[in-house]
Amino acid sequence: LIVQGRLFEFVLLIAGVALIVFSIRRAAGGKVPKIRRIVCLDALEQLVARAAEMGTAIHFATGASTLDSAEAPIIAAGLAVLGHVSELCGKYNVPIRYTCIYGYMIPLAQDIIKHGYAAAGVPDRYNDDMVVYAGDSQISYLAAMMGYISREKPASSMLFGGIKYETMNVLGAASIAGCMQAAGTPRLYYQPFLVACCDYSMIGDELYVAAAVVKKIPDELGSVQGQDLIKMIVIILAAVSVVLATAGSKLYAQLIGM
Amino acid sequence: MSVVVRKFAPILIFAIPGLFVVQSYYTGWASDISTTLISWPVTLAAFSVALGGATMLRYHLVAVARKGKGWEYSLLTLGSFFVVYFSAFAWKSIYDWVISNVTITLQVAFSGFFGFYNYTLFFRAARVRTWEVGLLVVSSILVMLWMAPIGEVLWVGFPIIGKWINDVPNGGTMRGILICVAIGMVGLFVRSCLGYEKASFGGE
Repeated sequence: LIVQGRLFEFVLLIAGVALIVFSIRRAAGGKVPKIRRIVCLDALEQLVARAAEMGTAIHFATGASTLDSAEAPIIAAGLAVLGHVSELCGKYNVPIRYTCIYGYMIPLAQDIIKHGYAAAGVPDRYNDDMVVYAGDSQISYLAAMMGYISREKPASSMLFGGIKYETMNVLGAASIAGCMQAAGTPRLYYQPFLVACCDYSMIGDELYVAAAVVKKIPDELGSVQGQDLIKMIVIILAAVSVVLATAGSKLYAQLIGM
Repeated sequence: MSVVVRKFAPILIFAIPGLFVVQSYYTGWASDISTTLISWPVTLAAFSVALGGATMLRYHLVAVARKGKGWEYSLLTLGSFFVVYFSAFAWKSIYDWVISNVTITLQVAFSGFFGFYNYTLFFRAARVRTWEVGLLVVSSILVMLWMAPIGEVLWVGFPIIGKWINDVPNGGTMRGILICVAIGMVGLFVRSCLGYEKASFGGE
């Protein structure tokens, strides 16, 4: 029934999904897990407040990854942070500028930002021009962001999502313009740049849980606990496999090959 | 559209093809349909260029009409857009000339500029705020001294240390982060299928 060599990972996937669903049900039943604070998420309000004090806008981008690729979940996670930041912008009466590279991101981002301002009780502060289309090219995308940051000098710049080659250019331009910066991505190669150049950063799977953590909805917090349980299983499996391999057993290799 | 349809239709449109692709990966059943499903978003995304063009036109037309700060650049953008757009249909020779002598030249110039910009950017933008960032910077320098020929000339130990940093702590950490990222992706997929995660469908 299952393709040769994929049975073990299929069993792991099913076990993982079951653990997440179980944790969600458990949290919905009242046993809400305690989630550690993600400093970068807490700091977003500080970044928006800085923009309010300085009377400038916030710059936000979700990177050049596409919603029609395997990187779609990263963009989805970045958009969840955009929703939270839009609400904060509404609360502090700060305009937001979202630069997007793909046309299909325009209605999505407009809708998210509009709802963010509405949730803060100031729907009239929103306007469609908060979302700027920079053309379906990475060069025009990063040139548009660098140009905006250099000219307008926003107080804060945020980069959350499937960021790519544009990362260093945007971080550098924002650093030179004196912006306070927060960024996050699960994309491995760009994480060192974020850590080195930003005031606050999210690495690894932190961006994926960001949406659940900012909203503090019990069910969603439960899903984060489920993910942690899977990590524990993976750590145990890794430790057992190391012991088995050291002892000369081929059991683990046979399991993976099933 | 009823509230039920508005609420559940996007979730179903997301979840059913998603689960179908997952089952196809593991069972191998209807893999051709799965491949077709994966190609659909690419086709749909291609249509969105028109949406982007319309938004860009509205933005710059409003900017020119209001004559706000930098409206001249908006006028230049609109002029360039119409010249390229209409020449593609009516004057193929002009279109080819613009692409070969303006677009490609500008793109190459930009790529060159960004390349050199990147070389110095890390030194200008990076700040050692915490000891972890300090560790990162020291590791980066050691790895660079391994990669660059000058490292071995300065001291034969640099390539050994740099290679060890790259293969052992860096390799282990990257694998650990990759596992966490994959688990996070599964969590996000489950939350989206259950209707908790709605960010990619627009506002709530």
